[in-house]
Amino acid sequence: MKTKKRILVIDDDKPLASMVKMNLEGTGDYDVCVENRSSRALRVAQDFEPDLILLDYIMPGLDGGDVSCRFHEDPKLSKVPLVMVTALVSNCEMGDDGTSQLGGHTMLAKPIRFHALLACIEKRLGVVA
Amino acid sequence: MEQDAKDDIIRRGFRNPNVPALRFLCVEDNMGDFVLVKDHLRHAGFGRQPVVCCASRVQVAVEMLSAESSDLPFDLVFLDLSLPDSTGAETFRRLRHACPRIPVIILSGNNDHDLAEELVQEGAQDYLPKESLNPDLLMRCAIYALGRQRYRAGLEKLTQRLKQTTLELRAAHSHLAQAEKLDSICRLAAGVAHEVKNPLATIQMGLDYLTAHCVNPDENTESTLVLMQEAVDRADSVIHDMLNFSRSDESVKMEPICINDLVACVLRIVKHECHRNHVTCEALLADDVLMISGDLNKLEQVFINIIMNSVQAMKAGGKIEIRTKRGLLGETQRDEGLREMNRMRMGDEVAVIEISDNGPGIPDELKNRIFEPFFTTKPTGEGTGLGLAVSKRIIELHRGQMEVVNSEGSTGACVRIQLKANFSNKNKPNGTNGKPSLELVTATNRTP
Repeated sequence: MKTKKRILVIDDDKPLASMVKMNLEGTGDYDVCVENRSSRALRVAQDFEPDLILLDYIMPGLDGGDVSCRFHEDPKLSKVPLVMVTALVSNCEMGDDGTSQLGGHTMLAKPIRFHALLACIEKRLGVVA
Repeated sequence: MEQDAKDDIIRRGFRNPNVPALRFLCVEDNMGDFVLVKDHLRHAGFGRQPVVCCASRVQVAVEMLSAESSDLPFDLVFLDLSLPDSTGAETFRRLRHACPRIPVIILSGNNDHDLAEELVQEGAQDYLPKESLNPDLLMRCAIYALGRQRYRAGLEKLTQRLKQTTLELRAAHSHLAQAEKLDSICRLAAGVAHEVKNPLATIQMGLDYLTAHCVNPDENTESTLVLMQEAVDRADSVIHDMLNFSRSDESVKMEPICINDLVACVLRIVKHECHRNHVTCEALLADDVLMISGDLNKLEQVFINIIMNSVQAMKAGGKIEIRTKRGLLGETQRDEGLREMNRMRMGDEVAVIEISDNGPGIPDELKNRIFEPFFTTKPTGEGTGLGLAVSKRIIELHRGQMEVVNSEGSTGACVRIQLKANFSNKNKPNGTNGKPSLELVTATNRTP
């Protein structure tokens, strides 16, 4: 049995975050940790040691940009692939695979179909589907 | 007499021998009275002897005043009220009606104060009893009348300009109000779009979960999931349109575009949809190369929107014609909020694209509303009411013009888009400098 990949979801929208968790864990391939408060994101990430981080952009207090800066300053977390999920961009601004590279991050537009999210995660994790 | 010369007389005085002679028309059937008036005028002391002509009837006077349209117009009329073809106030009114601009001094046999007052109210310059005439009185009255006439003409001009300005102001005001409305809708739309995306994302994730984990769903469950997915897609497309509408300005990427290539490309995209709806789509492209600067994707979106509107308007099938040609910008709509140098001006060279169909056309009462955001005539779910609003906005971002008219002589609507031509990055095609080959496109006349 292969080891499950660990994914940290940081999103202040609780229902959305738990839906993402349900879907990802439903595949049987992932362990998912959800954090709704961006102020605690760094500490949770250091404890959880994720293989990939899904980060919402628009959040109260620290936004996705602030959080990603803190990850960058952390020697371990700076190497973890980061996927931004945001309502700021539309699907039409995305490339053919539904993702876009903005400011060095992979961006996904909300609302996103789960298969597209999964494809993006697998790509970033280097999983051969 | 030319207005300048007339002004000159008034400025330099009637006694100055260097100003042109005044021309009077005396409408009088009594030769004795005419000779008397003429004699008085000759002795009045004008710098140059005035020319005095005679008409014995109102009808003749009207003909003389109208006939000498430009060469040697009369400056003033002396009018007797009792003529063979007209008497009393009626005489003045007939003349006034036919020649409203010429100043008229009434010379009357009776000294009727009431009539005098009435006619002066109606615009007569003066009312003089014949028995009190003398050279000095006639000259004073003539000079004062001409002076007043000059001010009246000036006043008429000002009134005309005021009317024009009022009209323009009203148009500008409604344009501003519309722009303000659009602006607030834009901000609202962007806010709503962002707020709705999160819950929508949750529903989407929930749907994906249920779809993946519902083992052997019964028929109802399955169709529920499908319907829910369609609803999410619909909501997403509305939001997408709203966002597009609210901030389409941010991302216009200008590049040189050949209009004919653009139309050909759009035709390929819509071909299937047209065919499915029994609509034929024909392009009548300009012979020469029409280049513009524009955002290819956004302009494609505009043309697809318009064509799909036509297709949806022609339920029983029909025909769409896309015509491209070179033109000159006719009337421009003022855009008061826009303080920019690179807007289009009258006479600018434009590429004109006309998309016309033979559908039912647009009812007059809806014409003013079709570019309003969220205005649609389509059933719920088929249209967001943003297609034309987004299209118009995109065209405006290109500093172009877009208007919808009903096709003349046939049913159907015609959308005309004018985009500023940009020949600088291609060899100028033949005929560019030959102005006569260019066609003036106005907002009102639909060119065939």
